[in-house]
Amino acid sequence: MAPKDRLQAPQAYRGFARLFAWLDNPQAPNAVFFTLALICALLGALDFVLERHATFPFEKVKVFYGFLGFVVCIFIVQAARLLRLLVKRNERYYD
Amino acid sequence: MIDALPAVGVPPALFLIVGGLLLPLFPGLLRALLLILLPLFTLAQILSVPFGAYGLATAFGHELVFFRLDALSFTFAVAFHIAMLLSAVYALHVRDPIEQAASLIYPGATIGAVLAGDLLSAFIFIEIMAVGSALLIWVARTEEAYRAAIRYLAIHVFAGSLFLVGVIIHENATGSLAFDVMRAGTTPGDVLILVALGIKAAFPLLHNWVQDTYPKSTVSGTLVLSFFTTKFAVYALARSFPGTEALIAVGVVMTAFPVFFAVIENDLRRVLCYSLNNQVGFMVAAIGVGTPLALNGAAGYALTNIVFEGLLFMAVGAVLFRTGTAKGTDLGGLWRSMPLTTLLCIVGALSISGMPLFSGFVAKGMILTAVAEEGHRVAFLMLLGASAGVLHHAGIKIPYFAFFAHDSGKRVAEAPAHMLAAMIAAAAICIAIGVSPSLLYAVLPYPVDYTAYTYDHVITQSQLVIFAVLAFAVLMRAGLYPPEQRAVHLDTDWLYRRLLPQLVSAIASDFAAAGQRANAVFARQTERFVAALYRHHGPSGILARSWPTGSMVLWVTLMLAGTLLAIYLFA
Repeated sequence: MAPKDRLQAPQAYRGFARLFAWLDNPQAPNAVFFTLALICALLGALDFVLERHATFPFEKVKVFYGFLGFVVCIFIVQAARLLRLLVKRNERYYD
Repeated sequence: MIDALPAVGVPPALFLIVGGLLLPLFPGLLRALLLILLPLFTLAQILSVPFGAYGLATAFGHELVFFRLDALSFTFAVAFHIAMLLSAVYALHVRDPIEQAASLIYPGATIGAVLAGDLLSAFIFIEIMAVGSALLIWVARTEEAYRAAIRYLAIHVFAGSLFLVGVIIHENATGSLAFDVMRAGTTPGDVLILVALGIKAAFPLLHNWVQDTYPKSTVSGTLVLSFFTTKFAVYALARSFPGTEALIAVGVVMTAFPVFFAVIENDLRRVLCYSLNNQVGFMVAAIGVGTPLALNGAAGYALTNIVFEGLLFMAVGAVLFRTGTAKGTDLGGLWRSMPLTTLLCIVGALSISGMPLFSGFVAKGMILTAVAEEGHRVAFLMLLGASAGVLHHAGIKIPYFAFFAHDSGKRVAEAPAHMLAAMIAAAAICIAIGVSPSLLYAVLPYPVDYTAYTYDHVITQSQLVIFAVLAFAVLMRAGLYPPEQRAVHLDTDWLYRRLLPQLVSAIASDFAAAGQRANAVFARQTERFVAALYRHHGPSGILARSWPTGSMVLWVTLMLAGTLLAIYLFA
C-alpha cells in the first residue's frame, strides 16, 4: 500500500484535479462517511414527513427503499465472497 | 429534403457495409473521417425518410424488405447511430484499417438487421454481424484474442444457424417470412428463434461469451462490441416476443446473477461486461411485461444504456489506454492524473445507478413502473434489488477502484482529446435526457404517458441509491469488503474452455488406446497363425517330411483297391 501521497502540493494539482484535491486531507474518508450518513438520515426522515404513494403493501414500510438498498448491498457483497471461494482460480488457469 | 436525397430508398446498412469494405483503400485520416461521416449520412437518411417499407426484393416466393422503418426500428436505429458516432470519435487514434473497417461493417450490419422487414434479410445481416464482430475481437492480434474470436464465431454462427432453422420452420407453419410478432410455442420454429436471440442477448447460462470475448479486443474495439449484438437481440425480442411472460423471469434472473460475479471480478472491463448482462436483463424483463409503457421502457433503456454504459466503457478504456491495465488490483488514485475522465466516469456511474437528474433514472423508472403496474410483485422486488446491485458493481466499483481507493502510484497523462470529446458528448446526453426527459420520449415507439419526476419516483430511487452507497462505505470501514485480487473466475465458459477440450482429448486418447490394443491383438493372432503354419508346413513339419518309397507304394496300392471297391459297390 503506497503511503499518503504528499509529493503533490495542492497548487500542483492540474485543472480539474483541484476538484478532488480535498481527498488528500486525512479527514476526508470520515467527512465523506458522515456526510453520507447525514443525507441518508434526511432522506429517511422525509418518509415520516411526506406521504408516498405505494403500489404494493410492502412499499408502505417507512424507509423501505433505503433499507432494501442497504440490505441488498450487504447481502450481495457477502454472497460474492462465498462465490469467490467456489470459482476463483489462478490467473493463468486457461493458458 | 426527401426529394433532395436520391438514395432515400436504399437500406442505410448498404452504405455502411460497402463503406466498410472499401475503407482500407483510403488513407489514414480520411478513414477516420469516413467513420464519422458515413453514419451521419445514414442518420440523416433515417431521420428524413417517412415510416414505411423500402428496399423490396422477391425471393423464394416471398417479398423481402431490406429497409423497414417504423416506430420500434426507428428508436433502435437512432440509438445505434449514436453509438456509431460516439465510438467513431473515441477511436480517432486507431490506425488499423481492419479495425476501422470492422467498426463500419459490424454496426452497419446491425442497423441492417434492425431495419429488416423480413426474417430472411434479418438473417443475412445477422451473419454479417457475426463475422464483423469476430473480426473486431481478432484485431487485438494477441493469441488470446485470436482464440476468443474463434470461440465467438463458433457460438454466433451456431446461433445464426438456429435462427435460420427456426425461420424455415416458422415459414413452413405460417407461410410468412414477416419479421413481426410471433407467439413463442406456436411452432418449434419460434422457440428456436427465441433461443437464438437468447444466445445473442446473453440469457442466463448462454451469457458467458460476452465476458469471455469482449475484453480481449482493443480499447476501441471493446467499446464498439458492447453496443450492438446484445441490443439488437433486445430489439428482436421486443419485435417478435413482446408480452411473453417467460421473459420476465428470464430478465429478472439476468439482472441478478451477474452482480455477484461483477463484485469479485478484477478486470474492470469484465465487470462492465457482467454489467451489460445485468442491464439487458432489465430490458428483457420489460419486454416480458409487454405493455406500451414497458416496451417504451425497454427501448428507452436500450438507448440510454448505450450512452451511459458506453461512457463507462470509454472511461475504463481511457484508463487502459494510458496505464496499460484495466485491473482493479493495479489501479487507483488516478483522479490525480485523469481528473476529467474521473468526473465523466462518475456521470456514467450516477446514470447507470438510476440517480435522479440522469438518463438512467428516467428509463429505469419506466420499466419499474410498468412492472409494478402489472402487479408483478416478485419481479418488482428483484429488479429493485438488482438496481442496488448495479449501483454497487458499476456505479461504485468502477469509479472507485479505477480512480480512487488506494493510490497505485501511477501518474499518467489525461485521456487524449478525442476520447474526452466522446465522453463529454455521452455525459452531455445522459444529463440532457435526465434533466429533460421529453428528449428521450420523442424517439420512443409508443406515445408516452409517463411522468419521470414525481415525488415518489425521486424519493424512492434516491433512497435506494444513497443507502446502498452508505452500505458500501460501512463495509469498507469495517474491513468487510473483499479486496480486489488477481484471479480468473469460473463461469459457464469453463464448460467449453476446460471441460469440453478435456473430454474430447480423453475420448480421443481412449480411442487411440483401444485402437492400439485392437492392433496388438490382431498382430498376436497373426503371429500365432503364421507359427502354426510353420509348425505343419515348415522344414520340420509333418506335411513337409520326405516319405520312404515303400510306404508310398503301399498307400497307392491301397487307394487303387479302395477306388475299385467303391466303383464295384456304387456304380
